[in-house]
Amino acid sequence: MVLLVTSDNEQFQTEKDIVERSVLIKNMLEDVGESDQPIPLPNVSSSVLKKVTQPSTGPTEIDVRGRYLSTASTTVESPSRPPILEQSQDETRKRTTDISEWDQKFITVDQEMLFEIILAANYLDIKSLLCRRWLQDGSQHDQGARPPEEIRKLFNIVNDFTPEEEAQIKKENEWAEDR
Amino acid sequence: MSAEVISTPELLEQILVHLPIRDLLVAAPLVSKTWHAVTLSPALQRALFFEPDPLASASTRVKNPLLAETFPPFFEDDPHWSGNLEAIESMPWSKAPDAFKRQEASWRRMLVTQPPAQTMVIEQEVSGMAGISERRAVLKDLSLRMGVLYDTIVPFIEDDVVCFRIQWHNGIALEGPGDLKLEVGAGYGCMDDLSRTLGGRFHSDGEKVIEVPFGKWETRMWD
Repeated sequence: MVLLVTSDNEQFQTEKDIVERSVLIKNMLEDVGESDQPIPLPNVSSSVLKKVTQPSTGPTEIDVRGRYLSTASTTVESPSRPPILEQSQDETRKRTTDISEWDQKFITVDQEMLFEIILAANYLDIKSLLCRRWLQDGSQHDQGARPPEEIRKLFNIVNDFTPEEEAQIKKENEWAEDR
Repeated sequence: MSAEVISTPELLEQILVHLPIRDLLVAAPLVSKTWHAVTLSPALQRALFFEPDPLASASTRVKNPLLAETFPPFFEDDPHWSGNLEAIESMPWSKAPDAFKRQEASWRRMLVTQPPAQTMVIEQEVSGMAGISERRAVLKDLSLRMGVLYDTIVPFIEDDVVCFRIQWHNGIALEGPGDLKLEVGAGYGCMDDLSRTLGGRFHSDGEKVIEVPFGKWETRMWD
């Protein structure tokens, strides 16, 4: 078990293999060696850390899924993990559906939380899958990207292009649009 | 804290680099000026195959997945001569010719592989009733982009008889020099219908004439 201390001074006892999905923490643990000393995470609040480390609610789970799925590693017996991990490798279709449903639920966290989680995931270096799934459309078509309008809406971004600028960029890359 | 990540270019870049190439090309630059600027960063330009990746290894050359999907006859690494008029006409190009034709279409600037292919061997073979003629050329220092590959091949596709294939050097498959070998062949008989040609629809407005430094034709007559 590893003891983590968040920015608001809350302590979390977490399994080593879970926290080690964070490259940052993994490196810290390697540097420090076996120790009972708590690991301070000054950039992560307790509410965000819960999201990030709690199995079945946090982005690490998606990371875990990605890793287990891609390496075809053995199943991990843990009641706190989502049932996805107990599935056999050939249930690809079901898996895809599950991930999409999970995303849908996850994406309903409020804006502020979403940003904090992205920030924490970046800080902890567990960002890859998590961030990518946010940009893609997790709710309807698992394959497609979010159109620019939706990305703007999701992250509160103002479209500061003039119509001419926008048209010019679109023109260059229109050939690659999904059709 | 809120928009901090998304408005911090370094962090945004870290996120975008994980996007599939199509999304990185089509969606990301259109979000805002900041996003557009971030897609111009060296790391993302490499991910988009616009800039050579100095870390890419020649022994594991990666084909541009978006181009491979969009220009199949140019990427099919098979022993068959599957590149021909019909194969070109059935590319996604046919569904949106205007988007592909226009001069500024970004596929022309895209590297065909990472690391970029430098040397292309071209072999042309024409056979007819009397015999067979062959000639050969080597193009060097290409840093091959799709525009050049397209402009090199398409002029050969004059009629329905010509076909081509590309073999990629991956350490085993291709013998001899060259990162890739383009073979163009045509075997003419007396019954060929030569009236069918590649329509102007497949002409790129950005086309540049590629001078291919062919050696002399070498002809062997049929016995």
